[in-house]
Amino acid sequence: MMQKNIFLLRLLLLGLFLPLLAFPTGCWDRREPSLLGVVTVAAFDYNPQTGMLQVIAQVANPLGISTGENSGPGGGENPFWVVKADGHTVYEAIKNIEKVSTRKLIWSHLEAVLFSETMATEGLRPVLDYIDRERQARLIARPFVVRGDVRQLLESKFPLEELGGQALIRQLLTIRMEDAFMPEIDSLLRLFHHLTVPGVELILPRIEMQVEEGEDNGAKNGGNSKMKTGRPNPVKISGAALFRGDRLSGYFDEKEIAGYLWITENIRRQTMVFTCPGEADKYLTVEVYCSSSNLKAEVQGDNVRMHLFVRAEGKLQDFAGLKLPLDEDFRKSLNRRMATVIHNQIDTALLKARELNLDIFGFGYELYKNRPQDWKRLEEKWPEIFSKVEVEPNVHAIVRCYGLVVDPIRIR
Amino acid sequence: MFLFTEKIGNSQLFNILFIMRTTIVISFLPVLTTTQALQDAWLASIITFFLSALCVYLIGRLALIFPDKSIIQYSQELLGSWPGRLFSLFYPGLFLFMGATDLRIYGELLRSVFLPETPLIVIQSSIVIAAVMVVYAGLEPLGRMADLIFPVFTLSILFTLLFPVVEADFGNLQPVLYNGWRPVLFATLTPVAIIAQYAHLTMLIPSVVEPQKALRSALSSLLWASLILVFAALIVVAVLGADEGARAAFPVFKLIRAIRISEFLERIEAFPTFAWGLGLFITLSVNLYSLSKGLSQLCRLKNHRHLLLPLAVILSTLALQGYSDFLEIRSFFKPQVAAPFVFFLLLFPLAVLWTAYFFKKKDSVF
Amino acid sequence: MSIKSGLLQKLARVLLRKIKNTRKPNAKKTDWKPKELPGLGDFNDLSQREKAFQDLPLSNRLEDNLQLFRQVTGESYDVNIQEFQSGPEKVPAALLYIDGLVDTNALEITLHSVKVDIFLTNMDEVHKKNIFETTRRRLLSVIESRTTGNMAELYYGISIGRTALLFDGTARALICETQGWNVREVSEPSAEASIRGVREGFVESIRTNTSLVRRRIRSPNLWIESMEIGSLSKTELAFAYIKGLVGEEILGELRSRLKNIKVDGILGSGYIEDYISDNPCSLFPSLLSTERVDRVVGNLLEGRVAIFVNGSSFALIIPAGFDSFLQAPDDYFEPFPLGAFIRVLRYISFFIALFLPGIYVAVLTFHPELLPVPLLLRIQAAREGVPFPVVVETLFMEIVFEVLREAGVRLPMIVGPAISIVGALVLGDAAIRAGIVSPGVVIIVAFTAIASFTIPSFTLGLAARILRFLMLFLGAAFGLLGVQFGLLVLLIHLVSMRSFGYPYMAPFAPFIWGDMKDSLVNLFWWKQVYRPKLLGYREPRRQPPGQKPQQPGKKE
Repeated sequence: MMQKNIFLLRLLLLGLFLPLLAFPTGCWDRREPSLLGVVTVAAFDYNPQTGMLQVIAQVANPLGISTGENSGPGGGENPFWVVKADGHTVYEAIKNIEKVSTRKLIWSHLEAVLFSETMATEGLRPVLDYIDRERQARLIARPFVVRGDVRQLLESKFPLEELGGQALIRQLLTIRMEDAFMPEIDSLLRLFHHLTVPGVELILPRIEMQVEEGEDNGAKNGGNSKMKTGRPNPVKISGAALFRGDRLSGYFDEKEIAGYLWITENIRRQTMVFTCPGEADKYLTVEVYCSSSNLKAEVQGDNVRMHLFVRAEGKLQDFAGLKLPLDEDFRKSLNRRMATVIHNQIDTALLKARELNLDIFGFGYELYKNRPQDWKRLEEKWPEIFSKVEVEPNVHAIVRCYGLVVDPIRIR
Repeated sequence: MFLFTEKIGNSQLFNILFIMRTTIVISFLPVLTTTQALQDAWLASIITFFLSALCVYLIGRLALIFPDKSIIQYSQELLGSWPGRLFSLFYPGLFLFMGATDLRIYGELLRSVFLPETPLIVIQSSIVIAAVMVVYAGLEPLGRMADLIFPVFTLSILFTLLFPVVEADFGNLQPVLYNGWRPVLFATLTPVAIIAQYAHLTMLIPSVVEPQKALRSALSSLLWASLILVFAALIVVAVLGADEGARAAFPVFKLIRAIRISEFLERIEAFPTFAWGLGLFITLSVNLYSLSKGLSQLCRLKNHRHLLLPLAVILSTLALQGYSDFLEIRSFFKPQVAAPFVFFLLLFPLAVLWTAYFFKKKDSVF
Repeated sequence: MSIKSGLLQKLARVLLRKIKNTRKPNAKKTDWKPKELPGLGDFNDLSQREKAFQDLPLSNRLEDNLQLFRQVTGESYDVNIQEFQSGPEKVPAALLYIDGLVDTNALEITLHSVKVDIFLTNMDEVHKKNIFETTRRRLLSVIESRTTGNMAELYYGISIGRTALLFDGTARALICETQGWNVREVSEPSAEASIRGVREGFVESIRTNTSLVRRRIRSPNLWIESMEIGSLSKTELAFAYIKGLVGEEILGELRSRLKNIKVDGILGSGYIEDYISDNPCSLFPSLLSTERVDRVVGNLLEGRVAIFVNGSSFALIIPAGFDSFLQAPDDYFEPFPLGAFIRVLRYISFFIALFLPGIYVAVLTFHPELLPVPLLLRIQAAREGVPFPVVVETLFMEIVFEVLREAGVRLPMIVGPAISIVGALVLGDAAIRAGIVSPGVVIIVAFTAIASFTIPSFTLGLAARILRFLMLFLGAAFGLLGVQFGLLVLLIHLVSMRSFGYPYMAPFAPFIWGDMKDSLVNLFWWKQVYRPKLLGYREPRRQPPGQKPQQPGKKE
């Protein structure tokens, strides 16, 4: 009898105690989701007036995100809110942001990290260390260098997408899959890796603003702008920023990136336009759909020679000429012209890199991995050696696919 | 089957030891983080296995000479009552210390990653209370818990390690032996020192159903755990890069956080954390069991359960107060510190006991 | 000492009564009033009445016996006493039975043979005098009967539908087997429906139930032991097992536990379960109760014991492990991959039913970083404006759901579905539209509910339902760490449980690889060569291996 009572008493105590623990909000680490603001894109800049570090955050606005109930922009609210603050360190700036925010910001869902040109020139180190140390930050966010006003970029609206972060990432993915004019650094993890391993310099994708004058950039008219058709994409991801250590020291344009990608074996797709045989005013397009490249180092004393083997397979996509001569000569010349284009791209990239003396291709890393003894010897004077590295590209290109028809259309 | 026994099967012994070893080894991947072995961490892991196997053999062989006695009992038999007791104090001390350290590392992980504002004591209690409960229920439920946890634990760990393979760049493993053998051999010291966990064999063997096969179970558990370790070292270096991995506080954890397979397949660090929590639960339970059982045998108490609560409190307090922050744990696990300290606690009593055993054997023969 | 004196007193009382009876042989019928028997007066309480009634011998005089009987049973309207005169000697006799319990046909036969057939018999003087013995022999040819000299036994006999025959001049009664009351027809058990399974379920009569089992196992080694439990209800209880297969330790334990039950009445097998369960305080059932015949037979064949209780259509099966509560009949009647798939699905839904709300609350309030970006943003957007914290919201919906479920069960069949539709659709939809709860919570709670419906055992489902709240609180208080703690404690509880010595979590813990064939999944029948290791260890092999069917041409 007594035993039963104690059992019941325990049960009662447990029943009272647990709910008590469960209900108070904000105890320890509990945060109601309605008290959180999710930062999806963060930009780092220096305030031009004060010279202090500036953090600009794009916070997702739950009121503006469409739900199943009211599909479409919820109540005409902007789907995000842009806020910025200054500080001596990144963390101080973040804390200063929270002073003007109604919600606690969480940074664990960062999708893109933007560095302004000034930031990149001054060096990424303060930001990178914060990101590496902070528990909320994740290395899956994608880094970009922005040319132009970062704040304007964060405030602009994208076609098809609600949030800036997702838009940037999808754009990047699309470019990567379709055009390949993008360096392979697609996460902070790769960024850290490139910064820490020996014999390779950092290269980051660059975003360019292309907002025309008088165009509304989202913040002013909010939802109304959606009524218009064909809002232009405010940004263009093009080119790449080159770093020496963590400091920006040059840019690549698309051609040079293509060369860079041929060397580092990261190309996926590339379109090349040639003139039609015998008809100089008509054009044909070849798309590279399959490629591989291989880098081999040869060391003789202080002379380093890199053998680069590139293999590319292309596909004829369109042909504006009147007659498609599918004979041996035409195919050979097409292959040769493809190889020449690739060769030229590689040379352009090499030229630019030598000019800046930046080993972004990782020739040094290649030595470190495969010829560690030589690397030990050359490591000290690598910058001088790099400018003299001979690269011997050996390009083998072939057009394999000609589409679903053989001859071009014959118009009466 | 129908009596309440305090026995565990050999496969349960295997599970327990495997879970213990894998948990602590995965937790901060000492082959990588304690020294400058860098991309050769996998090589260090392989060497670790052979050195550890030697230690396990030394521990297990002696225990098997007295299959129905724990170290507390046979050390008294070998060395006489009082010296034996004195020497057998080493091992409970070792258990207490290692339990506390494991607990603190887990607490640090959760505090620095998941629950920064929750008091450490709450995080630790969640495991300690469960461990006390299972040891109170007996060794048999403990073995069964190991049976239940083993598949979940192993699958979570494998999932954690296999998932990032997509992102792996095995070129990061080159060059091999860039800095020569020295750092590699140096890197094996701490993981081999952690083999002190297998000292639990000396307490568990009397309760194993087939003690003669216990050593085989122990060695095979070590083998499998070492395979996991090699694999972990490979994957961490291949994905994070050697430098990033060595700088990380919890490399495996960092690995899983840095991975994105698709827009949806990301943020799965709950898996390794869960596996780690389960593994730590087993580790702590075994520590508490060996501790209470050993002390009760030392003091000739009939029921070791009475010692459980005070020991759990001591363990938690030690975990809380023993280290002021994670840096202290890291610096403790530097080979220069950890190896001499642990080897002294582990091997010195063992050496004395072996010597005593050989003398005794000689006496009995002649 | 006290026992001895009690016995002496009893003996003295019996003797005294005998003397009293013999002293007045010629008392007149009309004004003879039996003395109030000690213990059977109006002011005697139940225990005294029961005690007095227990050792009441029958007397020689019919009149006395009938009076006595009336005192014992009172004026219960269903107790019939038919007085008549039997045989050529016209011996006064009486037929005692209870209306509704006897089969009218059998009663007819009895009456006929006592009243009519008796004259057809060639009887000498001795037989004429000893009408009792004659009738007994006569009756034996048509109907089962036995004799008793005890009032208690007489009463218990007629209380289960037998008919008692009393003759003047004989201090014994003839008890004829005339049982025949209305029993519910054997039909498909509604609570454990199956698609391809056996359609026969147990009924409330223990005889029918044991016969259903006996029909399926025709081996003489199917033994059925029986006993009576309940000081007032005298409930018949039987347990069936296969001799030589089931562990004698289990049987011994069961017998001793059953013998220790001291209670006034057993109204169903649930009562027995409470008395013999190993872990009465646990939320998890440690005895499997089922209405399905095939299930009982299957378990008997594995070396388990089935307990039947009269008046209850549920048989109890011991020992039971955790896995038996997640087995459903259809697993066995569908071919292997299908059966295995639904079995695994059930395990998964058990965990969903137990943990989903807790994990939802824990992740949302403690670890939003674990959610992918689009998902978190959607949830956050959907939750915007909800006036309650996540815990309260989830708890609220859970309680609403539990109430709905209970209402659906309690209401009559016709109204039941209506209330669940009204409740689920209208209430849920209105709550979302009013902005009181978010759609996410409704999805979670509904999914949890649906998952919990897949658990075949109602008791296990109940355990999951209750523990779900515990996990919810733990998750809300400590995040995933709390859920992990809850899981650990739950597992510790489960692995330390035993059911009649059988480890509750077997074959998962202790891990028995060979028994996985019928636990996590169920393999082809011809793959299940061995019986469960811990149950059928006396006769491990069930069938020869290698019975996989082969196409005729492929045989070598």
